[in-house]
Amino acid sequence: MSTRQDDNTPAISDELINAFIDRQLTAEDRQEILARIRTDKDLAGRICDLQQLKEMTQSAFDNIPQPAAQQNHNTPAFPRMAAAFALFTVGLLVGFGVMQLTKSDNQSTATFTSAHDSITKVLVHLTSADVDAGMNTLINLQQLLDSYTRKHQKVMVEVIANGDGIKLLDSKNVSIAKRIRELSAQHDNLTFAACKNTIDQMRINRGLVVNLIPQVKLIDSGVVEVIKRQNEGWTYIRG
Amino acid sequence: MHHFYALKSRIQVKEIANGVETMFSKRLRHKKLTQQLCANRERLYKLAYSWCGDAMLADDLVQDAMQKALASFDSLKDHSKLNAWTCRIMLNLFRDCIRRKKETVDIDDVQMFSEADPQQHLASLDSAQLVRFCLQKLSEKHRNVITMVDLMGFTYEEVSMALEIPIGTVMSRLCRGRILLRQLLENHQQKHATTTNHNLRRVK
Repeated sequence: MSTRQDDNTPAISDELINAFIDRQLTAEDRQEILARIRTDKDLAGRICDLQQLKEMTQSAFDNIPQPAAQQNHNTPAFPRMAAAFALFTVGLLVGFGVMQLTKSDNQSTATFTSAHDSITKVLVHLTSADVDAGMNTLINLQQLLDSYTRKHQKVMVEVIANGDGIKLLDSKNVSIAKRIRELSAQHDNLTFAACKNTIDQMRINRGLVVNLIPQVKLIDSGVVEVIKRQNEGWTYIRG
Repeated sequence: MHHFYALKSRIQVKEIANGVETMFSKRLRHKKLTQQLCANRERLYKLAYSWCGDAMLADDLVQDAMQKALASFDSLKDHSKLNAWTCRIMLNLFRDCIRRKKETVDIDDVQMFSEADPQQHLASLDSAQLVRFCLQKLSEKHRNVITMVDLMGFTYEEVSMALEIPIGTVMSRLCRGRILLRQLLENHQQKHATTTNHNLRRVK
């Protein structure tokens, strides 16, 4: 037994946390860590830090310079002789050839359409109490939703607030509240959620009482929700 | 007699059909592999760029690796390993490239990495450039696992195949590499707190 096991909860190793954010754990192990995050603030912090580092690494290569002279990088040409022979034999054995070819074509179009029909899932993470920035985020959100609606594409947006982001969703912020009311009325594919952990902490530690805007639902933990959504493949946007 | 010829020609047709079938399946296989590689081209380019920091060189590495991978696709038994395999080829090409540079000139005199002129430009780097710069500062073994997991989206198993190291080693290198990367980032951010201090704050 591990010597670090002082209160029945062995420490979770860094390697395990890395595997968690890289989605390399079995469902069972993932569930165990997700359950631990709810009560273990330190663990939640470590996971969040690592997740951010991963995102920074990924986004650092979003806009890298491209080679100056873009050549046509298409596939190496299939040898001419073989192609000619193939054409000839296709003529002989039309049935077989067509069957094979359409089979592969159908497969590729099928994957294309399914990607096209799928729902875009966007997660907006609010962590700052800055009203102007928050307002900006909401305006961007409106544009995003409108643009998808116009193109008849499916989109789902979840706005999650924790930390200082909670203050933004206080009904004291009249302009924000109005905007959220309007947005929620127009779009049923948009949800707002606030972290209950943060709200409890604010009340206990700083005596702050938050009156949430009515359209905002309460969730147990913002961090858990953010991680869960990301693991489900939602696109992460820092609001 | 009549019957015999009919039978014989039927056998011949069948033989031709079999031949065409193997040719077709080979061609389809090739086509599929090519598509799979082309779909990953952008990610391969990011990976190559993260290693060498130079657009032209990265492009060459990707192109050569893809061609080599396709040229010898027959020796690849398991197609799900294509990406890992291509990365291994690309890594070897990159190592060759560094070796060649070393043979001709002193590596310290070569500005191989376009963004690695730190002392003067560090302060002016944006956060993306800073991350890329710090990745370059890591040792190759740490950089390889981080970039393969984060940029290629490889599973640990794929990294293990591409680098020919056990999965346990992948995990420990990844863990250690990310700690080192964070330290590097934090050091530079402390030095240039005014421009980059917001990048690594904790969410909670």
